[in-house]
Amino acid sequence: MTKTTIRVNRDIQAEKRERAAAFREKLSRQGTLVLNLVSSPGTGKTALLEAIAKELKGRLRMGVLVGDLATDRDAQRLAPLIPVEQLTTGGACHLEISLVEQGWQKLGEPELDILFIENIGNLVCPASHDLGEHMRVSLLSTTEGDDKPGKYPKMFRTSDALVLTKIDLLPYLPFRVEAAIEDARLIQPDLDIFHTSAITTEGIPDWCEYLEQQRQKLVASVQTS
Amino acid sequence: MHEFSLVKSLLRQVNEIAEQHGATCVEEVKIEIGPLTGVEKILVQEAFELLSPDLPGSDCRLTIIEVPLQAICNSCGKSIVVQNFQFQWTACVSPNIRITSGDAFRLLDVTIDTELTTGVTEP
Ligand SMILES: Nc1nc2c(ncn2[C@@H]2O[C@H](COP(=O)(O)OP(=O)(O)O)[C@@H](O)[C@H]2O)c(=O)[nH]1
Ligand SMILES: [Mg+2]
Ligand SMILES: [Zn+2]
Repeated sequence: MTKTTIRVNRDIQAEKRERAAAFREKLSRQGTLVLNLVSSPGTGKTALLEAIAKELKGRLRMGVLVGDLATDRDAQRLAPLIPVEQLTTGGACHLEISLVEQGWQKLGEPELDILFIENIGNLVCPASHDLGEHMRVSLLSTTEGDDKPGKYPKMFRTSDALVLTKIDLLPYLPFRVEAAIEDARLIQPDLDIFHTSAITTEGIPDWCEYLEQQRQKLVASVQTS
Repeated sequence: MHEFSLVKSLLRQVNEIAEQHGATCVEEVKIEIGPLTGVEKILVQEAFELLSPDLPGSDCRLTIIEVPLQAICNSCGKSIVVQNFQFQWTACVSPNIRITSGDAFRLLDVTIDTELTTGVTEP
């Protein structure tokens, strides 16, 4: 009998991360910016996508992969506005790269400027899964309370942008915008923060302009490399 | 989150290594987790106890190394420990830091028994 200790020192999710990186690389080369939208259920991810689709119609080529546990309700909402593929996970509480790869194939791998991935409503597990996105966007609605960023540090830490949604409801709620922003910035100082209402469309043009800029940045970085 | 499926994936990788090295028994598996890994130590331990009897030798020990959340300030190069998920590095002008440990689930070492007399030490 010989006792041997084998040094491994590897992230156990390394294989999935490599797959996600390959997907990101592939979409970078064709100039498609990939966004992963994450939030609690009901924050307004689908409503934001509807507003974006209307605002950027004719300006950018866009597509959506939308995840839910069951039903194709979100795909039905979005289909009149934007090419969409519904990903139903059965019981799984987050999307993974394999589902995104499948959805992308089903969508027909079109030439897009932006691919949006609407993740499962959940502020926990989606934080630990790279979907091959270039940017992770957290949404936080005024009805959820301004104390949420500190409670879900991993999600906000791993985000690049934060969209505060339902700001039309601010007059009726004790939500302190400054407190929410301060809480989020303690965790991720680099967050780009936007205030939107999908109902009144306040803040939607600014947010969409930012998306156009991010897409141009991606194209420029691919051309120089 | 998902300690059970993470431990399943861990054991799949340990099994592969054991097979490659002709292990008759896996004695110890050493892993590293931290505050931003997104797992609970007790649940990892429980999942391991439930699933590890499938490993060769069927009596494997799990050692969990808990590391603090560490980062390097991108502007001054200083190494810091992040407390309570407060990422603003106030002693420095830049709040811009890069996490170096404490956010992953790493397989560190696998200790096995083999029939062979020549020990292989590289993976
Ligand atoms: N007042 C208001 N309601 C909104 C806004 N955005 C979404 N909602 C409502 O919030 C609910 C959940 O929105 P939905 O887009 O389905 O959220 P998702 O689960 O994150 O995709 C729906 O009833 C929407 O009409 C908003 O900006 N203002
Ligand atoms: Mg939705
Ligand atoms: Zn989960």
